[in-house]
Amino acid sequence: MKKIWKIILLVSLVLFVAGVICVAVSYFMGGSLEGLMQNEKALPTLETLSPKNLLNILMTLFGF
Amino acid sequence: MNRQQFLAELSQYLTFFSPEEKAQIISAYNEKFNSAGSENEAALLAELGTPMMTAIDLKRRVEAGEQISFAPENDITETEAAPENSVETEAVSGENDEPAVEEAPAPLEDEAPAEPNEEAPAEENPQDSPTELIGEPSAEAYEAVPLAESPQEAPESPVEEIPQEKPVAIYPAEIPEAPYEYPLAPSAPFVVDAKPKKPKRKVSVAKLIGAFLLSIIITAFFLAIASIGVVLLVAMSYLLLAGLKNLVYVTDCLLLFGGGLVCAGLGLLVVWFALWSAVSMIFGLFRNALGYGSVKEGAAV
Repeated sequence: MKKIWKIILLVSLVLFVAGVICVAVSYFMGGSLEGLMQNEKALPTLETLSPKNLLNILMTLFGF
Repeated sequence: MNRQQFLAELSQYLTFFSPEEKAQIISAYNEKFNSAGSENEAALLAELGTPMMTAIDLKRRVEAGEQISFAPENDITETEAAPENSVETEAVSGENDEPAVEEAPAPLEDEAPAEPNEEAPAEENPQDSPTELIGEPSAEAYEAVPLAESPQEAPESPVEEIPQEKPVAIYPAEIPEAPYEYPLAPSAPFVVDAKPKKPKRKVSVAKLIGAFLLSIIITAFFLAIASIGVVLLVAMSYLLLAGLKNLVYVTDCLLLFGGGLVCAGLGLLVVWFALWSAVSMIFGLFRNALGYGSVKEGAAV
């Protein structure tokens, strides 16, 4: 059980750090969330994954 | 209790000795019974006490740093009525043979050589008699008594003239107090040898029903948490796919990939935490309801 916990924590840490590095590199290259929202190809995905939409999905899932 | 039972029980209690020492001790007690004879067997058994007390006494003497040697006793019994052990006793004691025979010839001529030495301090000092009942005289005992006071001098000298410290020198001072503590302080080997009985399980239907209802609530709660993790993982896949579609803009791709990876890490952690918590809690609930007790820390689920 402890081994599984260690593996999960390690994988999560690696993914989290990699994600933070990607965002940081993008930020230093001039990228921003506002610029991303202006991208037409990314906009549908961002709208789907917006916190409001996700909350609605979860509420619908549990019948609230 | 007869001789065989005494030796068998003593052998079981001598778990703190090595096999060689154990065999030597049993052999020494066997020789003691041989020297006493069948007519005095009951008296010797009463003198020795229970096997447990004898074993505890031996253990305490060892823990006190006292070297227990049964070689002189073997020598005495060898000269008397145990020729089959002559090779072993000679190999063990070697040097002690000569003083035992030369310096104390008179006790060897009697039927029981050890008895005059033991009776003298017993009559003079009734308080020291428990040491003889319980403790096995060490090698120094058999050597010290004939040197200090030979049987020939004992009748001539009055009892008051014999210093009372000599029996104390023969036997350690801690031993006389020890027998009275035996029933109150059982030693470790008996605890180790005792097989723990498995507790009887009491299965309660009410507890089972309660565990079932609680497990439903726990499952629902952790399912909600796990769904958050699943949503995060789904978002990760969406973001990664969207990043692949926007390869023209590197900054947008990196933002989408970064967000996706962070979502993946969090989602994985949340899903596993919810799964592990739910399974552990439900398993513990049913384990308690079935009477197995609580789950040990680190036990596999």
